[in-house]
Amino acid sequence: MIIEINKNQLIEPLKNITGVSEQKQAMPILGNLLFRVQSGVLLLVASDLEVEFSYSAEIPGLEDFETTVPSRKFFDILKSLDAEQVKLEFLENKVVIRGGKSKFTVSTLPADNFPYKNKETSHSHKVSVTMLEKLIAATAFSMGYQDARHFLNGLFFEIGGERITAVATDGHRLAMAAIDQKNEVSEPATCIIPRKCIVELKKILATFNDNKEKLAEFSVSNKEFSLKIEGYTLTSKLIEGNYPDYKKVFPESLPNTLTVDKQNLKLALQRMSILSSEQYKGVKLNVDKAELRLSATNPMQEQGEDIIPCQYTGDQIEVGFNLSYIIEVIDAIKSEELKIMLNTADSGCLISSEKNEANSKYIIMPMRI
Amino acid sequence: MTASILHVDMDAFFASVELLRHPELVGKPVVVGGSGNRGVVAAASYEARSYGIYSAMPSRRAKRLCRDLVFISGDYEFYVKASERIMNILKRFTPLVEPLSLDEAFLDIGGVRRVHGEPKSIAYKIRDAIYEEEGLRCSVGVSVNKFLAKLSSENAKPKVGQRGPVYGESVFLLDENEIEIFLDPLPVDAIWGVGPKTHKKLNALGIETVGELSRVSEGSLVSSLGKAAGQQLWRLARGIDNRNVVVEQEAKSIGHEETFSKDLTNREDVERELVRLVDSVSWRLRKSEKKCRTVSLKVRYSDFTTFSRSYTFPDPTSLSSTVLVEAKKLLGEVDLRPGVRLLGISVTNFDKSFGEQLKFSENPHSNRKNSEDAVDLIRDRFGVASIGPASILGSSGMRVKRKGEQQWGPDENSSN
Repeated sequence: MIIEINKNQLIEPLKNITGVSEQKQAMPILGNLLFRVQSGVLLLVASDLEVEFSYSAEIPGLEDFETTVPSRKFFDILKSLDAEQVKLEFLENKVVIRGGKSKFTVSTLPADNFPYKNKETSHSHKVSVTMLEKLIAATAFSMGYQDARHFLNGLFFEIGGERITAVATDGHRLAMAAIDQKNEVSEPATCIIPRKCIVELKKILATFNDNKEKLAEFSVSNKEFSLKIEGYTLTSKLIEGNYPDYKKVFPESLPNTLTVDKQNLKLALQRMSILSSEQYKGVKLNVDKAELRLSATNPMQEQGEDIIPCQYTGDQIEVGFNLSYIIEVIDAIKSEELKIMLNTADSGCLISSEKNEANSKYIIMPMRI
Repeated sequence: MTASILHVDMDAFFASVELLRHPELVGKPVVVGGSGNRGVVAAASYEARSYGIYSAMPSRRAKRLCRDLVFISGDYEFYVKASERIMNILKRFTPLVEPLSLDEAFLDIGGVRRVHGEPKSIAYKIRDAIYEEEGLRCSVGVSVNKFLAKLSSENAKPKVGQRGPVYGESVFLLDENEIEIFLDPLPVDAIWGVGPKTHKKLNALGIETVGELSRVSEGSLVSSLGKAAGQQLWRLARGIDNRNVVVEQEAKSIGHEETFSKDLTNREDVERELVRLVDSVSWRLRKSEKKCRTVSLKVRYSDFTTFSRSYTFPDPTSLSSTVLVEAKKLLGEVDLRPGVRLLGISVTNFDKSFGEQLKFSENPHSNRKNSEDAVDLIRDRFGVASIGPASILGSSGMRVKRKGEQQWGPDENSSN
């Protein structure tokens, strides 16, 4: 079986999907890609049993055929070839890749063992690619990472009749955002999409981001989330378990409002981060009428201090935070000004902004420093 | 390089300290340790040593060797206080004092010779100060590095005579130009790090003495012992040791273990012991103002099979209740039917963070924290045994675990 093809027809999809392939190779087949031709359609699939990412495109004139090739090597070889046109010769247990004067022989594994589900999912919802990307960008950084509470290691989605809401929390901070979107649902559907799928989702959404009109189709069932854009289909198992009631962490009253220039605050925080202790980047904020004083110390008793102008309504307050949490929120918020609502040194603060397409809100719990 | 590292090692420390408050026992064979069938000898007076008794020997065997042997059960707190006084004496000579345990320490006197004189005379001064002020004897090794200083103090130790110790100068100086002559005839297991396994491997290579070891190439040591061990041994055999004297090494773990006088098979009994251990370890953890990330459970069966299990917390903690939940889970996976001879709990992986990150669900925990803070305050004022978890109440009342208690196995009449 010999296939001659322009390598760019493969490189673009491989760039998007190979991230799913398991490099640790507990099961060698998961380090491979399914490579299948059926009725003139080329199908490429990467899977780690949790997340499955496939691409299909019509390429007329090819005979039916299937095998699996090592994802990373196959992609790296194609990228490196010094020729547009490549020739793939599939033999028993190996494939010979030729391009220009280069030639590679790489082992393959039979396609029968590849865990491709090949399930026809009907994608019942549609969403703007740009808006979905915004939703994820506004929240995903607050997801838990390898947390023992497994349900925190993912992004929580709530699909209601009027909007889609996304929530991420690691127990120390919480990010919430919502986009307006009419959905045909009888009652709100919820799901927790695992971190790995979110990473892949961000990648594929970014590929189509230039086109503001572009729509992605998606569906959510009890066990699975699936999203389709053009030839790509990303399917992921959902994280089981109950997501914490995020509405409860929003404080009832936050009497003190601090308004501050975002960029000013970010620069001051970055200065403080030089001296704050490595593991927990603690910074103390001392707010009085028109002045925000920042200070950081470390176990070696070194100190840093800074002052930036602000507007503040409320009593003078001193409260500590992990400064990376604030910087991450600043990076997620698009407007120039930041509104931080505070209560006491032991209660969480709420950060939001005026101009805010994704209606995002952030709660950060303080640090006792 | 001049000899500026001292190794000070107290002679039969625990036993000697006990003799100070039991003068009637001076001259008798005395050991400190657990007198019960499962106890071990922690320290033996020189009189006891002349019967062939040495530390770490099972008490039963020691009793067989000497019928008139006097057992004193250990009083850890008392030894700690004596040790602190001795370390303070050492610190008068140099700030660079690295305690290795209660009864030995390394000193770097490189920078204080103008003040205190030549290394050997400093060694004499230390020996005399400790004897005059505390009534205790020590041996001092002086050499160019830690490894050689320790071997030197070994050489300075009193000899075991037929009816007690035969004291020499108690100070031994190993100068740079005598290293080879000194090391060559020593057996290989005199080298720090050569245990029974390595010893066997070396013997298989035909190596019995340090001299023979030093004539083997580095490459062949590395190939038979592994890179790190091979290189280290090669260097030590030449008397090379670049470790510095480090002041105040921070504890890397806090732990307790206990050997029971009878093997425990009943899960309820084992859990009660677990609560005692966790309570005590977490209390010490809070006292030292640390939080741990990992808790480890150690279990030894009656046939001496030993294993451990550990759990790492998502957030660092010092709360007894949090540690206990996970310790119980670890114990839950252990088969108790073979009979538990020893149980141990240790916490490690201390958090170096500065400040405490609050969580959304802080409330249930903070109640726990308040109650444990209250227990700590009560213990500070009324002693460790004044309050403890109700679940450690057994048929014999409440026994709160204290540091150092029962280190050397249970006593004859102990009730657990």
